[in-house]
Amino acid sequence: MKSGMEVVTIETDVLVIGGGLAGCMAAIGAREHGARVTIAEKGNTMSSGQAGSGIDHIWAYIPDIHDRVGWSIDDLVDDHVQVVAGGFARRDLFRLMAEMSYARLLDLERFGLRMRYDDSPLTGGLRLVQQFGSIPETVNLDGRRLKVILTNAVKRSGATIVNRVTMTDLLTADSAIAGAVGIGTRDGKIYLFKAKGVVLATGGKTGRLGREPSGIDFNLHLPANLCCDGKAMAYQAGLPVMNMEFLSSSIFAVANYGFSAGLPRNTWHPAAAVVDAQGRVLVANTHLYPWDELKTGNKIDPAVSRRAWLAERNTLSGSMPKAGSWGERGPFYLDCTGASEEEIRYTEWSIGNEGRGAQFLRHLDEEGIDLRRDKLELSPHGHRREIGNMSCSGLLVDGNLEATIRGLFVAGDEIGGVPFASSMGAFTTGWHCGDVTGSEARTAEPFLPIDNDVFERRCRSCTEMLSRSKGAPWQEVNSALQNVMDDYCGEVRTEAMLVKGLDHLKAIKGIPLRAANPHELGRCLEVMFLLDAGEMVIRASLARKESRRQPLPFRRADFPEQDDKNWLAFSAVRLENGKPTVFGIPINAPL
Amino acid sequence: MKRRAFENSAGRFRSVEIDPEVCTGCNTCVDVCFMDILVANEEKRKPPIVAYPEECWFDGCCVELCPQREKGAIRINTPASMKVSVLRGERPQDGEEHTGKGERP
Repeated sequence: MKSGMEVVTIETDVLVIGGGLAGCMAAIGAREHGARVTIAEKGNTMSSGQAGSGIDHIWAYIPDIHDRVGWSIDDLVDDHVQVVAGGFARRDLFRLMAEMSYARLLDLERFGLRMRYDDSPLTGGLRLVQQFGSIPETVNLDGRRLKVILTNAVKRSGATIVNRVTMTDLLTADSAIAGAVGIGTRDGKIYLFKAKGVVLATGGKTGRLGREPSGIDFNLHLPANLCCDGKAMAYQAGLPVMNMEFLSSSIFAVANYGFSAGLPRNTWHPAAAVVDAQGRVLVANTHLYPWDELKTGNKIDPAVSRRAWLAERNTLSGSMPKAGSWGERGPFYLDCTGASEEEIRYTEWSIGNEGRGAQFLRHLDEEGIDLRRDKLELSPHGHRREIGNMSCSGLLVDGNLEATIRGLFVAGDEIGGVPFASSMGAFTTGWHCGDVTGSEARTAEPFLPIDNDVFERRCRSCTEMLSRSKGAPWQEVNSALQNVMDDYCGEVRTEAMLVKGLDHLKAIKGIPLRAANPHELGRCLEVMFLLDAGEMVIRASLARKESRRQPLPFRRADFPEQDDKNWLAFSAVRLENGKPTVFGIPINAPL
Repeated sequence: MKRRAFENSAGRFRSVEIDPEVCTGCNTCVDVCFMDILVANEEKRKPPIVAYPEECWFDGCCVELCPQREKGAIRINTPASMKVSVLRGERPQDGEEHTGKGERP
């Protein structure tokens, strides 16, 4: 049965799945080689992805500044791997990112992003703040319209953007990629892409596996259309997906607004402190720019600086009140009232350019809230769980970012084992994937045969969802899934509950979904991705028979000890001949 | 397949609100909303329909990229349970001890 869906076939040298930061850079990189490039984007590249509403800061290794003070690329990588990821990371991939970071920063400037400021005394007028490195390594930029600027750069490069297509299946032929299938969520058509190389840049994260405590389902820190799309596609295609068990609480929460800031070290740096109701300081605010060393160019000792930074971060995370366990100590407030006018202005600039921040400032304005005077309450909500930065989940790739099948490359947060690679991780790996696939496309063989079974099955399933008169709307199934994940796969897990959770999940997967139109069909497809993601989380959680401390919190009540002998390893879950299996991958980073 | 357009409905909460007096019906917001919650009005130059208010992510790209944003054609309504909770206070005077001031260790 061919179904009632109209088929659109698109042949392209390089197909980029996902038009966020990584996808846009991949497209531009591949176009440098003259390849035909198509981006398939489920929303609109003008606003989609985790940077869709802007970024104000991005880490990079700046040779003119960092080399001069004796901080090498390896020092940056070591800082990130050890301080941010506790050694639980792919060092080789962070090095690849760090090496390319300055070139990508200059690309962004070439595309039209402002990143040099009169008030900076540093080389080239860059304004550096401290984020992951033991010395300031993060560049400020006027990134509110970053996605508009990038979309224009993609268009200028000659790549084609196909918006409003939710990609659903990777097509493989003899351990090589042949193309992919997607569904038009406005036109209701099924898209068949034939490609010589595919870049998977689907963002990787999701906040939709757990209930949202504010009662507003999509009041999430992460964009609400992120549903582990790429991981689900990879899983169904038999590829290993890493570290799914680290579904954990988000650290972000200001008031009830799931705004992506919350610690004085993040977007609120430097103006905010955290205080209790009596005004006692839990976390003090910091200097505006700790630039003394960078300005003088005096050599630093990276090892000393790393130890100090590690201690400071531990103190910081130790002194932050943990949401959900405030007991008699709450409420707590984010307090900018002690900041100077210069710091307040800087903070407002920073928030205004960073994810959802402009909207957050509009809300403060509407409510007559002034950071100079008023303190914002931290959210007391217990959990806002997500596959997020700290999950370091994603596809297993080699040192060249190629997945376990030929021709499929992985970019950005869809790469496994790189926690908090963030926007520079996306720019660099995106560019690298585009560079490799674009250059290989010139010599690649003709298109590989398409797996008609996969294509037909997707056609049939979508036609059924659109034509069913009975069946569950996507909200019903999403909500049932969230109940299972919160109740059977919570912060503390046990084998018996996880096994029972899998049972429930199986039953939920059997519920037929119903869509009234292509828009709802898109939401149904998202829920199907989430169901696969939930299953991967539970299976990986069952396999990891230990508990692990920060920065990768994982607690098994039946295995309370950390077991470095067997489990200082990434996990990977995959379908082998349709049967789920989990295996461990030793970590190559020195600890 | 034609997309169905609904009347603006409140749903469980409000999210995007459009001022029909100001909106020119250019449909930029319909185009850029990555959550796809808006549908163009079948009548030309009329405001779009907020078809899926509950799927709003509150990022405000519709406001940011609206050609009539200065005139307030479109705004995001923050639902009551999302509103920022605030401790109103005074700005500390110069020289006065205030909370939260600290030095980098």
